[in-house]
Amino acid sequence: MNPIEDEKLLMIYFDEADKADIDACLKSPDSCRQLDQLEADMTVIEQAQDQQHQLPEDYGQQLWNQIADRLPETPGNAKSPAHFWQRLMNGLVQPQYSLAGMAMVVGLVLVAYIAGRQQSDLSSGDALQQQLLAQNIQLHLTQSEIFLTQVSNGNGLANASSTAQRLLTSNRIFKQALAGNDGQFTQQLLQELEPVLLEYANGAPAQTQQPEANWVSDQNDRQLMFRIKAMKQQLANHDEII
Amino acid sequence: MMNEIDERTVQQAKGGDKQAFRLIVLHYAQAVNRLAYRYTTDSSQAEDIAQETFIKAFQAINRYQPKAKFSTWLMRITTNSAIDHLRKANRHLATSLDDAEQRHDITDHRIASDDQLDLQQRLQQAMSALSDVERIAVTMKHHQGYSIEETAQVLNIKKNACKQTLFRAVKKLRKQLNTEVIA
Repeated sequence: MNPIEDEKLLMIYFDEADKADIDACLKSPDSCRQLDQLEADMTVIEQAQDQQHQLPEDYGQQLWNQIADRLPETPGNAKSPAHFWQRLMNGLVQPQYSLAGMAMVVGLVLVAYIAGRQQSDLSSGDALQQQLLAQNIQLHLTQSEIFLTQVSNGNGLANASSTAQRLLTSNRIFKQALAGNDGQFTQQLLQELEPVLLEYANGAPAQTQQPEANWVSDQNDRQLMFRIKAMKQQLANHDEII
Repeated sequence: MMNEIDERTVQQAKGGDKQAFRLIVLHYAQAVNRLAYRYTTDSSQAEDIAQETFIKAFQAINRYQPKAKFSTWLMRITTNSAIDHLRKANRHLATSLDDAEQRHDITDHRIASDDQLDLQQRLQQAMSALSDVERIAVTMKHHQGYSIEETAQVLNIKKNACKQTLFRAVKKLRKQLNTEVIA
């Protein structure tokens, strides 16, 4: 046999040959013998490779000991675009992260810009302004809710005062933005939220004492928490300030 | 045929249960290391690849879909890790075909003349003497059952070049069996 035929024989063995080559091989007793020999050789090679590399019986445990400390806390921590966006979205709702603050500032600038243009383009500008305002208030309420839950549970007290100050500033800006608006329920909610945030903003140094406004334990303030959640839902579902 | 670990253990590992993942490591460690060794013929590199494979597997286990066998998914990670490892080791996989051919023709001669070695040793040396490209091609195609097209894609070479590489590698290995390959 010439080398070309050997190559075809190998392709037949690997199940990658044309039907014509397979037929030609099957018709020739010599080719069939060569194919048998090739198969036998490949089996020997395969078995020899298996025997070449012996591992101890407890190799699995040894390997586990090597990698156990290097595994991430949870699966799925590989870096990927999806995870990047997930982290970004998580960052946006964490009040202590400046990213959220920056996003809010950008949103407010947009609101102010659109508000400044409302006289020239009243019909479409009004709707867009409402939507942007609704989305930013929703973000603010989410951050406030997380913050208040954290401090009530005794978490995040280290930065409580500065976070509360930032949230308080945002709260007042949104109240002002709503002054010329019909959103009396939203305005009322922000009005009630303000003293709570104010107390944390001016509260005792963190970790020594919690301000008195540990409001989640108070019946009235639990109702306020419920109203924050309900308002967030309303804004998320309808983009409409009520 | 590889024994599969039960689906429940995989699901527990997907949920972040490290003890369940430990069972997966215990179950597949030998197979992963052996496959890594086939690609590298180097125990130390095989060990590194095995560790890397399981760390990657844990990171990506949420993306595993039960429609494929878990062992198939894990061996695919092993193959990718081994090829990455060889690439990082500065072995020019796709560009050194001709060089590798010349270099290993010399090595083949050395092996063939060494009569006192038994068959297994000769085959081991022959496998080590293959170029990385040849060894990857044989392992992917013969041991792992990938198609020539998939193998060629991984090696970044054309399908015909992949066939030639396989043919050359098998010829070198069969030479150690004293089989008459070319009339």
